[in-house]
Amino acid sequence: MILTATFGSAATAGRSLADLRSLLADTARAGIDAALFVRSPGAGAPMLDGVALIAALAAVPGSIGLGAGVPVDYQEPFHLARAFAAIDRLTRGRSAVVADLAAGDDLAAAIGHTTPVGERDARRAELLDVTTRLWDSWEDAALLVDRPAGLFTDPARIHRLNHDGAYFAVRGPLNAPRPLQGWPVIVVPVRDAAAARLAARWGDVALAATETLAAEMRTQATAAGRVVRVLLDVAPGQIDAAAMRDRHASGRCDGFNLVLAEAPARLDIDRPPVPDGTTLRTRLGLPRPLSQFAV
Amino acid sequence: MYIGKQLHFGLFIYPGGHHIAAWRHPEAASEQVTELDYFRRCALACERGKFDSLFVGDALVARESRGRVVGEVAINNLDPVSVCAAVAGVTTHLGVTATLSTSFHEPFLIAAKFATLDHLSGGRAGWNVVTTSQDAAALNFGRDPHMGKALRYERAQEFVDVVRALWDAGTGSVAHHGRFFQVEGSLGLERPPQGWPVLVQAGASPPGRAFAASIGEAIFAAQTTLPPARKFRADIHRLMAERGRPPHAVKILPGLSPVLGSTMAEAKRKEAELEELVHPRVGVWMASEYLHFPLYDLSPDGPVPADEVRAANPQLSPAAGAFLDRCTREGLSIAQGGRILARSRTHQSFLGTPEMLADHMQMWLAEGGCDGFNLLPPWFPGELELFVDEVVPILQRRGIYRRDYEGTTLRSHFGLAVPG
Repeated sequence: MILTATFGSAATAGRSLADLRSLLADTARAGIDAALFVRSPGAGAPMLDGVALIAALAAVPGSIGLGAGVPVDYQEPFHLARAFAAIDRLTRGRSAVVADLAAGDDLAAAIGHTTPVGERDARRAELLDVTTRLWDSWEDAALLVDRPAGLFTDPARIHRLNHDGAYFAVRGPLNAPRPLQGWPVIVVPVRDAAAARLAARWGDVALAATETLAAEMRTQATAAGRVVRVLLDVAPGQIDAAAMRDRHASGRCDGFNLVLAEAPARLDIDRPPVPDGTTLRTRLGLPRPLSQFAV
Repeated sequence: MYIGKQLHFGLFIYPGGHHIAAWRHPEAASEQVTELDYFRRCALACERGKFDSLFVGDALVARESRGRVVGEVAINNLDPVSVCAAVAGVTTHLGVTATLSTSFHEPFLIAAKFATLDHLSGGRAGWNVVTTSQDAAALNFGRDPHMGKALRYERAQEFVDVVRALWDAGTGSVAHHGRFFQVEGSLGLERPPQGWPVLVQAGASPPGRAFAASIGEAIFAAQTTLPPARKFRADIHRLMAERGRPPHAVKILPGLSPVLGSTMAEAKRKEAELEELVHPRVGVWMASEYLHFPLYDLSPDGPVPADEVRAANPQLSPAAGAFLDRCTREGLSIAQGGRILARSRTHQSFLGTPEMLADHMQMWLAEGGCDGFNLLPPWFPGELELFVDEVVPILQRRGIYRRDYEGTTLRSHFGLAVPG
C-alpha cells in the first residue's frame, strides 16, 4: 500500500527549517512513502515555494520521497525541467512534481494573466510533453567526465528539441543532466474530469478526491497502457487504518494520500522497510522512463 | 580589535572549477558536481573561512558551438535557487546568493521563491538580479527575439519594484499597475527576516551601472586592475549619491581567481599544469563566444582580428572591449587570447603565495578598489580549501577580516541595514 502525506502551505508557512526537518523525519518514521509540500488553495494563501522547500530538505537522510507543488499554468517548460533536474539529483532521486491545478484561478490576479479555462488542458499537456522531452534531451549516458579524453559530456547524446507548438517554442537542449529517476515522479491531484484526463496521460500518481474520479482515471490510464498509482485522499481526522486496509484490499486504490497539518502517528498498516538510496520511482513500483532520444 | 575597513568574501561556485579545464585536474571533484555532498563540502569550507556568501550563477541555454553542445567543458551550474536552498539546509551562517533573470520570469512567483529561501535560511538569502545577456536564451522561451538591453533593464527595474513591494507587504496586499506587470495580490507570508533578501547586481555597462546604483546592495564587479576598479567603485558611489543612497549601502566585490603555491615557482607550475589541460578547441570556442565572432576557421596562431570583430559588433560589452584592447596591445594570438579566457573567464587572476595574495587584497581594500572579493578558485574543493586554510588566517591576523560571524543573516555579514 502506498501512503503519501500532503502538507499545505497554511501548515508549513512560519515554520523554521529545523521544524520542517522534524516534521519530515516524523513523517518518514510513520512509514509514509512521500511527503508532498503544496500551496494551500485560495487567493492570498501562503505562497511558500515548494521547490525551494524540498531543496532545503534534500539533506534529510532516508528514502522518503519529496514532492513540491508547481503552479503548472504559469510554468515555462525550461524552468520546470531545469529546477527538477537539479532537485532530483540533490535529493538522490527522491523528487516528485505535484501539479497545482488550482493556481490558474487562484493566482490570476497576482500574476496578472491566466490561460483561458478552455485552453488549460491543452497547455498543461504541451507543458508536460516539452518538459519530459527536455529531461530526455540528455541521454543517461551523456555525462562522461572522461579526464584523459577531455570530454565532460558526449555531444552526440545531447539533443535539441526544436519544439514549436501552440503554447511553447523551445529549442533545447536542457542545460542540465537528466534527472536520476529519468523523470521525477509526476503527481496529479484529481478533483475533476479534466484532471483525471491529465493524470491518465501524464501522471505517475493520481491523488483522487473520490472513488468515482479514481475509477474514471484508471479506466483511461489502462486504455492508454499506462501505469498510474491511484491514491485516495483522506481528510484530516478521517484516518482509520482498518477502513483503509479494507478499501485497499477491495482493489479500488493503490493507497492513500493523507491531507495533514502535522506528522501522522504510526498507522496499524504493514510498512516494509525501504533501504536508503531507493529512488521514489522504485519505492512506488513505477518504471524508470527511457530517454525518447536514446537509440 | 581593528576598527577599519574589512574584507568580505563571496564564493562563486561552479561545476569542477573556474579554470575552464580544471575539471580534468586529478584533484577536482568533477564526478560529484551534481551531488549534494559537493555543495556541502564547498559550503562548509566557506563557513569555516567565515565567508559572507556562496554565489551561484545562472545560464538559460546550453553551451554550444555551431549547433552542438561543447563536450570539452563542464556542465552549467544546476538551478541556482535549488542549490542555494540545499546549501542553506546544511549550513548555519553562510549567505546563499542565487542568480535569477528578470527577463524570463514572473515577479509574483520570484518574490515567493526568495521569500521562501530567506525564511527557511533564517535571513541568509541573496538574489543576483540579472537580465540575461545571451540572445540564445530567448530560443528556449518562445518565438520572440530577446529584448534589447535598454528594455531589459526597464523591465528589471519594474520587476524588482514589484518584488520588493510584495516582500514589504508581508501578508498584506499589493496593487501594482505598470508597463510590464499587473500584480494584485499577496504572498501571504510574513515579511522576510532580512526585509528584502540582499540584492546583488553585476552589470558593467552604463544601464547596468545605473541599475546597480539604484537597487544593488552588493556588486559583483569585473575590473582586473586597481585603477579601473577604483574608478568603477567611485562611479557607483557617485551614481548612488544621485539617488540619495549612501556609499556604505553597497559592497563591491570584484571577481578574483587565485592560483596559489607555497612559492612563486610552485604557483607557476600549477598554472602551467592547468594550461596543459586546456583542449585546443576550447580556447577558440571561448574567444568566439566572448567576442560574438566566429574564429573557428582562422589559424589559432594568427592574431585576434580586432578590427573585424569591432566592425561586426558595434555594441561590444565593455569587458569584451577591454579584452580586445589587451589582445591588440600585447599582440596575442587567438590561442593565447583563448587561454586568458580559459584561465579566468576574464576576471582578475592572481598568481603567487598566500602572503602575496593577502598583500594584494589588503592593497585593493586600502586603496578603495573594493570591499572584498568574489572568489573564483580554479578547481573545487581543493583550491577553495587552500584559500581558507592559508590566506584567511593571514587576513585575520592583519585585522582586515572577521575571525567569526557577528550575526546570522547575510545583511549582518555585509553590514547592510534592514530596509525600513
